[in-house]
Order: sequence, then structure tokens, then C-alpha cells
Amino acid sequence: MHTVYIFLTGPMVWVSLLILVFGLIGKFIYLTSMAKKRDPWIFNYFQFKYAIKSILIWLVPFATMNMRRNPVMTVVTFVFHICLIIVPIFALAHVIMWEEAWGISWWTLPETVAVTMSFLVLGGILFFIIRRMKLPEARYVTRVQDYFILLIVALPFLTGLLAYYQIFNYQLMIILHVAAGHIMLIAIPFTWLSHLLLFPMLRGYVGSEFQGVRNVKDW
Amino acid sequence: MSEAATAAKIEDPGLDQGVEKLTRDQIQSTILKVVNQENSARLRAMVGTCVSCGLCSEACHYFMSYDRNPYYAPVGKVKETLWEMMSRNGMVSKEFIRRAATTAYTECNLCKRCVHFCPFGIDTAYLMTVVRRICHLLGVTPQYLQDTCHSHSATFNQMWVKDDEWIDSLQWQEEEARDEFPGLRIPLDKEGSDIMYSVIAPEPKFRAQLIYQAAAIFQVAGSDWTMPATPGWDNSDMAMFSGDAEMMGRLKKKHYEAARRLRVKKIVMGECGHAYRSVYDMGNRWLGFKDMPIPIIHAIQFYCELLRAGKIKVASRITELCTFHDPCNTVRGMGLHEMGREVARAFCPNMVEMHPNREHNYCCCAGGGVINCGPPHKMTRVLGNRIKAEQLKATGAKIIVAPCHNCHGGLEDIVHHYKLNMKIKFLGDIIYEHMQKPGAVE
Amino acid sequence: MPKKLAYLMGAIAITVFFLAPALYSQTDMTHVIEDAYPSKERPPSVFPHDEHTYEIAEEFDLDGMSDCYFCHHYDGPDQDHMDMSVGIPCSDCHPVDPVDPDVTALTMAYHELCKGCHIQEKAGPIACGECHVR
Repeated sequence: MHTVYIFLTGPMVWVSLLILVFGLIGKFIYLTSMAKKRDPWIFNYFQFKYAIKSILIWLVPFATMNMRRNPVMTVVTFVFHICLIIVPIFALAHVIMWEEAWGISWWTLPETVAVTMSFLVLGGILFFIIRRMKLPEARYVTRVQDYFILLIVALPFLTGLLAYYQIFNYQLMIILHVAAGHIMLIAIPFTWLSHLLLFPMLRGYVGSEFQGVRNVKDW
Repeated sequence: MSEAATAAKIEDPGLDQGVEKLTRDQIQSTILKVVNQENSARLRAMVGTCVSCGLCSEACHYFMSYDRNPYYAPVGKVKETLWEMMSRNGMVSKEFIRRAATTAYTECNLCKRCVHFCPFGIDTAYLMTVVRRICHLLGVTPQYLQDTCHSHSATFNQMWVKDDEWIDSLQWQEEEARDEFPGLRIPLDKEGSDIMYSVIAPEPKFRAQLIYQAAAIFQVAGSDWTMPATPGWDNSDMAMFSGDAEMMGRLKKKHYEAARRLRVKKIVMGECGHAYRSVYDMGNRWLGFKDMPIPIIHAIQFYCELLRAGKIKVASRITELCTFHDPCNTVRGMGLHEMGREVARAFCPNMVEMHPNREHNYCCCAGGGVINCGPPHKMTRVLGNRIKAEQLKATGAKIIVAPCHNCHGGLEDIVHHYKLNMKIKFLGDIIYEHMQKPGAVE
Repeated sequence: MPKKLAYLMGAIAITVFFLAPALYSQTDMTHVIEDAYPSKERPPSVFPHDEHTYEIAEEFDLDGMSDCYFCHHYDGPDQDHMDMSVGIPCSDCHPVDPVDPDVTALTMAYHELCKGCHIQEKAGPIACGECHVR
């Protein structure tokens, strides 16, 4: 247990972060160089101000027409994504581990807030799963891997909460928690979780294309 | 269940006979060529990023009209076509190609409304264009649409109009118009004019009145204009919609070259949406132009400029309640919605908006080459746009202003089928009828 | 009589031998009691003091009270181990939020001391909830 835990919280962190960062950088380079070769006009039309505008507007709740048409989905999506990103970065235990490893530290979430936010993430995933099962247009296009990816995202939070409350075998749970976190980080570049990178890339392109060339807003 | 849900399989010799000849190897190599060589990062990013949330569904008029059948959601159509093709590495059956062609050619108008719905901006219209490209290279295209493409290849116009017939038609309209405006000319091949006016081939073929009206507007505005006497006069582009990118490029080149030969300052296009798309979006890029190689403006812009400059003046106004339909290519293509309204409002003070409108307007369900797939597929699109009929009905308007030929075709069928009792007018119709006509004989 | 005396002496010796560690032990200490924290995010860490003192005495075979220095260090790593911080609250030197960046903060001091040794010795708890048991 000792060795596994030390490996997962030590060298494996490097492995996961390197795969995540270089996976995303590699994806970025692969896509841009491919576009440069075959669709070079994308770069001719690209305009930073329109790209930024498009990205920002789609990051503001209810700023776009389709967000207003689907208020429940909008609220759940925003809450889910905010919690999903904030909790791992600002959870007390995580920050302490960074401090122990590298001596760097930053602001942390109060434990009760982090716990609440983790429940919100799980609630969001539950909502997405139910939505995919119940809403015909979502069910029709949902593939097995879509549920699988939702599971990959859910597991670190589920095991994190179980470890926090020390339900079941704590030692096993904490190892599962760390492992699930690694799986999620590694899955990002290779699944549609990469929309972390592709959202700004695609919006940048679409924003430039619509606002710049087509003279019309893209939201 | 609405009548839409009961649509049967449609026979189309272009599709049915097209797939007969196919072999598995041919299908696979063609798909791989288009997916891996012709297309690039954009395709991969869009297909790979889709989280299949289904939020694009309500963007599509087919989805809304066919009782929210998920098959017709933008993402549903991508699932039925590209997802399968790409995940199976091109190993798909003839029947699959037949179904994919039906989907891409007759159940998507490439109107790009769904781009406004997708949080990532995934362009399903582009993805359907890729499917059409595959189908074109496989020789599986709807017969009527392919016929217009053959016409493009043989004559550089869409309607098999012979060179002498073209000139004949113009002179016929000139003669007609001279009864009203004695000094009017339709100047043919006048080098060094300010404006080259280009139209789509259906105008000389069966809507010649539109050329008369345009000539009258040019006459009243005192424009220095001309029309080319040689191929290149037709700005339409069905090859763009069939997936024949090479022919699309040749057509646009011919069009730009006609303008260069006549040394005009700009091209003014008739009220056509798809032709506009082909010059500002697809054809120019295929030929390697960032923008249009010569300034080209749509009739909406031209009329708006004339009105603003006071070159045409309002003589009378339409009192009936009017509504304005935004064609996808002029709105989501060039943001001409306010200009279009400005022109329409000048003559129709009694305007009501349809909802949604502007860049979120529902498609006419005729564009994107869908109406050009001909009679076999007519009901697919008429039943596939019940939502438009409901949208129009809710306005209570008597007149629909629609500055696009395809929209006219589509809306006419809808108005007729759903018994809406509305008239559909081009901006040109309204201007011609209600402008001051100095020098005209009563 | 001398036999009786011998028994008595032996008994005393045995008693002293077994009681001696009690002089510097904390028999009733099971958790780290720390009042320096304004609010507690986690339950106090489990810490059976005497298990550690026996462990260290056996493992390192240090002499008497200098065993204590292993944890109760004072004024840096003083090799003579003459001064010890026995009886002085950790937070006196390691404030929760130190002003001086060179001073180890209280939490880190505990974590480095406990977890550091556990990792080195490949024994004892190292994950959060193993010490901060609910």
C-alpha cells in the first residue's frame, strides 16, 4: 500500500501531467500544422479579437440564444464545469500535497465548500446521464464511450468523497481516488474531454469566420 | 403523428443506379481520400470534439417538423454519415452510402443555423458538404441535381441555356421594358461599365420578368451597367452543392473572368442566396482567393445603397402586413439582415417580424441544393418545414419578403401545402412596383 | 534476612525498571492535541505517543532522554541534542501562519516530521485520512 501510494502521488503525477500537457500541445500542433497544410485560409481569416469575443461570450451563462432556450441545461453545465475545474485545484488536501512536494502553496477551499462542489459535480454527471437516457435526441447519438467518459470524470469525485468521509476501506479508497484522477487526466487528450483545448480552438475559428468574414455574430 | 412521419422511401435513379455500380474497395478508398487527404484539422476537430449533447437538434427545421425525430437532428445526421464512415475506416455498405446521400442531399440545407446552437461552433453544414463530396466522387447524386451539374459542365450555366438563347432572352426583356421605359437598354458586353449584373440561369429560363425588373431599376437609378454575352453570366453553382468542387471552381473562375474581361468595377448579383455563398465563401477559397477577386455585392446591398443615395425613391407603399424572411446565405453568410429590412421597410411600413429572425431564422428548406433534387424529393422538404409554416402563420402577414430564389421556391411550396394564403415577393418585385419611375410611359 | 532484602531490592529494581519510562512518557496521549489552529479543517491526527517512543528507542538505541530529541528538536538540528523542546508547544516555534518565510508552518512541520519519517521508514500512515481519522 505504501509503495503504491507513494508511486501514485509521486512519479505518476509527473507521468499524468506530462501526458496531459504534451498530449494537448501535441494535439494543438497536429491540428494547426494539418490545417496550415490543407486549409491555410483558416489562418488568413483568423482574427484575435473575434476569436476572443466568441470564446468569452460562450463562457458567460445565458449570453447566447441557445443557452437561454435551455435554462436548466445551462445552469447545470456551468455549475458542473466550474466545480469540476475549481475543486481539484483548490482542494485543501491537494494544495497541501503540492506544498509538501514543491513548497508552493495557494488559496484553498474550505472543506465544506469543496465537499459541496464535489457533490455538485456528481449531481451534474447524474443529470447528464439521465438526460442522455431520457432525451430522445441525446439518447439517439449517445455512444457507449460517452457514458464511459462521464464515468471517468465521476470517479475521482466519487472516490474523493468516499475517502473524505472515510467510508469503506479508507486506504483502498484513497488509492482508487488518486488512480481515478490519473485516469481522468490521461483521458483528456484522447477523448472528447479534449474540448478543454478544442473549445477555444474551434470557437476561435468559428468566431473569426462568422464575425470577421460573414459579418454576423456566432451566438 | 404528423403526415411527415409517414414518408416512404424515395426512388431516385441518380441514387439508386449510382450505388449499384459501387464496390466496397471503391467506397473505402474514396471515403479515406476525402476524409484523410482532402479534409483536414477542421473535420477532425469538429468530429472529435462533439460530445453528442444534442443541443443542436432544435436548430434544424427537419428535426422540428418531423416530430422531433432525432434522426433529423444535425448531430443525428452526422452520426448516420460521417461518424460511421470514419469509425469504420470507410468500410461501409452500398446501402449505407445510399442512405447517407439521401441524408446529405435532401435532408440538410447546409443553412448553418445549427452552428449558432452548438457551444463548440461545430459546422454541420460543412460536415454534410464532406459527405456530399464523398457521394459525388462515388457517383451517387440525386438525378435532378446532377442534371444541373451536367448543365454547368457543358454550358457554364445551370439550365442548359444556349449562348444565343441567353442573348435572345435579354433582348426580349429589353424589348418588353422599352414599352415602359422608351430609352431602356440591357447593355450586352459593354466593356468598362461600372457594374456587371449577373443572374442565375433560372431567370432567363423561366423568370425572365426578374431581368426586366432589374433593368428597370438600373434604368431609374441611372447605373452604368452591363451583362456578359458569353458564358460566365450565370452566377449559380449547383456543383458546389453536389460536391463537385472542381466544377465549382471552374464556374466561379468563369464568372470572375467575365467581369475582368468587361473591366467592370464590381459585380452586382441578383437576389440569389446560394450564388452569393459560392462567390464569397466556397468558390473563392477553392480558387485561392481570400476575398472575392473583384468586389461583388448582393442585390440587397445594391438596393440599399441606391435607396440611401436617393437614386431610387419611394412612390407608393404596400399597406398590407409584411414580414421579412432572412435567407441563410445573406444572413448567416454576410449579415445583410439589417440592410434587407431597411429596403423592405422603405416600401412596407407595415412590417412584422417572424420569430426567430435574423441570424436565427428558420431555413426555407429549399436551399443547399435540396429543391434542385427535384420532384422526387419535394415532399421531404415540404413536410420537413412545417415549422416554417407555423412560424409564418404566427405573423399574420399577407406578404413575405424573401430576397432569395431558393427561398421563394421553398416558401411557395410551403405556403401552398399548408394553405397559408400569403404572397412571396423579392425586394426587386417591390421596388419595381413601388418606386418612382421618371421617364416611364404609363 | 539478606534473602528477603535481596527480594525487596529485586522487586524495587524491577518496578523502577518498568516505571522508569513512565517518567518521560505520555501514556494517555492518543491524538495530537493542538490548540493553535483557529479552526480545524480535519479531525486531530491520531498519534499514540508511546508507541513512537518505544519504536524510536529500539530502532535507534539512543540514550535515555535524547531519544525525545528525534521529534522534540530545538533550535535547528543541534547535533549535541542538549536542548530539547519537550514540554514546549510546537506552535511556539512553528506558527500556523509564519511571518518569516524560513520558518516551517505548523501544518508542514507536522507533515514533514510524521509523514517524512513514515515514508523513510516505509511504515506508518502517509495518506491524509490515515492520520486524520474521522
